[in-house]
Amino acid sequence: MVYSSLEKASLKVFLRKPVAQDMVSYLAATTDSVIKIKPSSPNLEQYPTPPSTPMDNKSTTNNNNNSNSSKQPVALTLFIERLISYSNVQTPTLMSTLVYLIRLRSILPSNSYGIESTRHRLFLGCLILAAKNLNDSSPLNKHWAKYTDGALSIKEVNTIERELLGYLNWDLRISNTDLINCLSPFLQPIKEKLKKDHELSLLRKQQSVQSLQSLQSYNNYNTPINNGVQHSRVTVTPSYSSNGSIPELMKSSASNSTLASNTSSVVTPSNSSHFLNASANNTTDTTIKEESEYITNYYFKKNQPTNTFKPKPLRLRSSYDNLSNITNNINHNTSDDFFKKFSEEGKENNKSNNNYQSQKTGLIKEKFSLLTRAGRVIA
Amino acid sequence: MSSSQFQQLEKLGEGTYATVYKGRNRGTGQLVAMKEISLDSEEGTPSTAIREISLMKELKHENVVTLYDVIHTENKLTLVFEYMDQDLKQYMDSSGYNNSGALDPQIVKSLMFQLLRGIMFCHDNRVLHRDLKPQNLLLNNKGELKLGDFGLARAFGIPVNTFSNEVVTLWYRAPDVLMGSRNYSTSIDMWSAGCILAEMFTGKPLFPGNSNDDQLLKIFRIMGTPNERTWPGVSQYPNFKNNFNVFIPQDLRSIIPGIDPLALNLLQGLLQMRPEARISARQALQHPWFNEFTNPLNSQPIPTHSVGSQQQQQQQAQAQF
Repeated sequence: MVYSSLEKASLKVFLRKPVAQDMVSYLAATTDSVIKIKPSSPNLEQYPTPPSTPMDNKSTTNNNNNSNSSKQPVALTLFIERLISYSNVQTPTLMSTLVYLIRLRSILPSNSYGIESTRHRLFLGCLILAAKNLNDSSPLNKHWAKYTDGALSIKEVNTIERELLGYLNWDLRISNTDLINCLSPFLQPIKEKLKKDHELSLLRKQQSVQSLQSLQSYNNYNTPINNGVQHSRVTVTPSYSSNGSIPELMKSSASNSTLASNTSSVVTPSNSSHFLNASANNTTDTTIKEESEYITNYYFKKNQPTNTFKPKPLRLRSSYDNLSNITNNINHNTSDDFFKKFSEEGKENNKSNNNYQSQKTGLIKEKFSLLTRAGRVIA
Repeated sequence: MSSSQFQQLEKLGEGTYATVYKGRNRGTGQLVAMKEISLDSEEGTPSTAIREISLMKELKHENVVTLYDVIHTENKLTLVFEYMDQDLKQYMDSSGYNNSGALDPQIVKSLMFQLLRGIMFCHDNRVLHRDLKPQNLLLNNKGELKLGDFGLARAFGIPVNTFSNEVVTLWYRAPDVLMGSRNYSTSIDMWSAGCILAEMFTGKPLFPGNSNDDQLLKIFRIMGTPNERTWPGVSQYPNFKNNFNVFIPQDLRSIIPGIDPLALNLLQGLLQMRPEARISARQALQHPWFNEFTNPLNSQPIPTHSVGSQQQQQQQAQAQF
């Protein structure tokens, strides 16, 4: 299953989140689902648990073994919380354990049963393998034993690790597909939010253009008297970013691995303009098209790379005057639809805007020189 | 399968975390190399072994050494590999015109081609080797070269792992890694491949530094000191110092006299300071220097050679005594 760039983006967004309670409870629930527990039948209680072999002198941890095996293990969620806080494990490593837990679930025979602490051991084993496999530096097993608050000795932790490697047959590779499948409950809401943000930002961009248009028509019917009316500042929001999350999507992925292309971004300009074209009624009159493209370029600085796009606040007064002058030079009656095309064509992909600009500089310069000769300084 | 299934023969070598013995499969009589890792109880199974085994299980290719089996006991982990006669370092030390270690250009081409094929296979399977050096390139008497020792190897391309920059033996470590980069990718192996290519020609390591800074200095002395003009963004690296003394790039022909221009061009493609400028393994394999391998039809016949083949070895043996 080829994962979409939106899924990969939602994965990136999710993995940057700090560890949260819903993650812990999901981990505990998944671990529970891996193996059933045979309730320790009462008669087991009668036989005192034999003292375990004395700890070999080399290991420094002084777990009092005798007490922990008979004592009821702490609740799995609490056990996981403590492991997280002691080891300071982060979301990527912590949530990758899901891949191993789910892999294990499909390997363990369905009629296998564990004792009370089996689930704790399985989870810890998967976490240790995830940490050792994914990060160049990870805690030693003696640290993990300490993080269990004495529940498990270093010997037991080593045994757990060895047995788990056997069950998994050393198959520890994690792929993006594994992550996207195992984390789908967490990724789903993020994907929806990303899609909504994207549509919202496009909508707002169109509205900001229309508001420019309505001001324009206001000017046609009343002579512009300078009565100090504070024009509402129309700030054009950057084309994609409506909150922190979107510009990340446009960032090129860090690793230039063969798969992730350098300019990979969630909503590549090409399919975004496809999205726009569907809604635009494309006109065949190229002069107006070029004209509007130029205006878009000039006022909205479209040709800058979007992720560093800093919208120059439109000081509407001066640019508003320029707009009115430019439209006066073109035959008047086309000004309404002139602006209607304004938003759609203007968003052709950047390439066409650039070469448009170079061809047309002569024409435009002549127009503006007209303005400057008329003594009106362009803001 | 208990280790008694393999008869342990003489010791082949000693690594940082493992000792390698020659072995023979009692059943099939097949020679094997047995890499024994003693398990320290505090660490448990070392992450290097976990990665080497989990990655090598999947890497089946004629230019990557094959892992046959793993024997995991409480205090010892044994990896059973296919047996290879020697590594590139031993081969270079024992050959070369006047024992200078320099190899015959035709052999260099054959070995380099096989090295690049092994690297491409790893990169296509999203594995970085991260420790390419002559000691880790294994040769057999049939003239085959295979990548070995995946202890520092890493999977890449997934957003869940954190990389360290203390990887790759110093002499073969790329300048961006030396300057502290942590988001390196396949380019880290291509720099090492370039250093190995030069070393096969001369018999001597290209950049034998003894510390991080000394290593950078040795690279700058030949490749030129990078600056924001030649390498935009270089000053952002953690270990970048703006008081590096400034060297101008040298002509590599002064270091490898008589190198074939095509080989030199390939070397320059690999030894690019900027990681993104370094050619990939796939591009390197399509380099015209390898024409006789890639499209033998329209190139001159390859002189028959094979590294260390019986008759060839006798010649070498006579030459040496």
